[in-house]
Amino acid sequence: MTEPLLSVREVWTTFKAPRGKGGRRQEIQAVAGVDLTVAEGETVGLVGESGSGKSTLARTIVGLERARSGTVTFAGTDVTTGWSRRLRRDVQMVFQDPRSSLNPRMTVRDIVAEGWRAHPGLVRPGGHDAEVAHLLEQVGVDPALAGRRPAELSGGQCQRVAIARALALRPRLLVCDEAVSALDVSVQAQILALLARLREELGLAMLFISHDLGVVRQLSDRVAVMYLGKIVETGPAEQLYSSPEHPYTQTLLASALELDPDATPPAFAAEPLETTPSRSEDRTDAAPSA
Amino acid sequence: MTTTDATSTAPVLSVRDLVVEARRPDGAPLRILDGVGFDVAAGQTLGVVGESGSGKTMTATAVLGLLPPGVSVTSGGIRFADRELVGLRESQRREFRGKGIAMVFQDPLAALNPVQPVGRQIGEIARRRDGMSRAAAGRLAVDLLERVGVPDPAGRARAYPHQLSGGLRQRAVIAMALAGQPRLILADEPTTALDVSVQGRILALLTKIQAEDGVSVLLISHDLRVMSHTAQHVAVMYAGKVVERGPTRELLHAPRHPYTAALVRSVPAVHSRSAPVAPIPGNPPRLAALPSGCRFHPRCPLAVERCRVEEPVAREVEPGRVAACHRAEEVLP
Repeated sequence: MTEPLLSVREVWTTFKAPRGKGGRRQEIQAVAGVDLTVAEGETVGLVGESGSGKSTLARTIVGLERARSGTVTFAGTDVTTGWSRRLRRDVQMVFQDPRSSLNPRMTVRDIVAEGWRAHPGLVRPGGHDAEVAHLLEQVGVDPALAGRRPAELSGGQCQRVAIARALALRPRLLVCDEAVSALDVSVQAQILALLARLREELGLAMLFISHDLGVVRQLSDRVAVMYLGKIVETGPAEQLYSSPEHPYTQTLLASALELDPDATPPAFAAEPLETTPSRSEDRTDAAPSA
Repeated sequence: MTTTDATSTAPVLSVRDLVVEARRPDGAPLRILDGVGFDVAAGQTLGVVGESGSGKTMTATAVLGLLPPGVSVTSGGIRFADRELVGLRESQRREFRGKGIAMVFQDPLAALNPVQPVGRQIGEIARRRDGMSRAAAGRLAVDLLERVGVPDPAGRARAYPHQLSGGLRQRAVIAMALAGQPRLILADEPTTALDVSVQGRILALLTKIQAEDGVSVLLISHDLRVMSHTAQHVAVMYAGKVVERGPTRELLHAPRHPYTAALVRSVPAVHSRSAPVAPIPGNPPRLAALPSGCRFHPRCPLAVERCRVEEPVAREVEPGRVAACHRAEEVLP
């Protein structure tokens, strides 16, 4: 196999916590030595709970956070300390909340076309409107809405516009951070179908981040499971879902709710204690409670 | 007409033909809930499921008598424990809130006072309920925290909300709800803000409390997966109406409304290799611009001319199953 499109090697991303007891600033290791690859045209699902570091990893990959150590390589070029303008175009991101990731004062047309200002060679000067219309059609938004602003669109339409904006730069890798989590179930299914179709049509590679195991299973070729800053298990999607090896993956899968018409309520064994540590809980537990 | 054929006792909560309207700036009324009806049987959970804008949270708000200014019940009734709640004065209302009806909301941080230890807040409810002493209320708070599965309950009773994890905070809120010894717990998306591994445990806790105390639960969620594990009966809401209701198992196996069927198909499976989710085309309508006839017809695969012109009336399509669809008998699961 040839070299992967994206390659993350031993990446650490750390933050300084606010000054705590004794004036010492604790270091939080949000990403703690992660290895991850995404091949050309491949979709890798990244699952984990809040605080697992999956969003920080995504932000580190695209350069929104700076890795403390390790390397991020894209298409054979080391991009750990910054992306060249040319390469920057190849990776685009879609965020969770389209209402806050789209500028409310811009029209749909300007939002989709904005990236072309930084990459003027991409679309010929007179062709912007036609290309915007084409992109909107591709993501299932009526091109007649190009003059509207985000507030006049539904949540699902906004997320489609955010995807059109990402596609406008003809990326090779799309990083989706909880891109369907804020949407209603029926709209979520629409966006999942759209992403699956675009991937086929455009040969896009995807890093698809979500806390929802069902959503990740829908799209992913491979899945990586993140817990407390580390990837604890990675493997082909079907294998990971059918025979998870890491105890954390097993716990996560066992606790995932399924739509089960035959579940007889109550369907849970009485298990009264919170046993999975979260980071905030770790700190609470560490503090003397007496 | 009742959805609780299994129990002969009167429902704890009965919502009848509830209409809630808002005044628009131009003075015209905007109908937010249009004839909503359902029963919550004693000791059972009724799930109200719907997408954003369907009116499920507005229904809960109406039950609590906490409708925002400018929004009011214009007809219909809400009976709780043989008292009619619609038309009560605020002072009369207050005696139900927290005691007869307790609330568990999506965001436990918003429900808790950030500057008071959680044990104090739990005890405060009991003190207000039957005037117990501060010391007794403190002991009760520790007992309740233990009951809802908080480890080290005595220590945690002294903790402030920000010192607890999301799951523990939600448990503290449930302990607070129990302190009022309610007959009905109204839980609005109680697990939506929680991590996957915690969600199931909180639902299990609600189910356990319901079984042990015989308390009824009105569970509001956008998530059919939550309903399938928790609720004995489900009401499905769309654009301000209940379009289908019935026992959960039958409703999920053989939906009688095309919207329910479509919702079921749009949930991605975790534990099996499933077909790709089947999206429902289009978007839910805005209340200010509802389609003619059936509100779902522009997105419905079964829609015929009649659906465009005539609004379907909710009818009993089989014993215990109510659907508002002209073609309910033809819906395929």
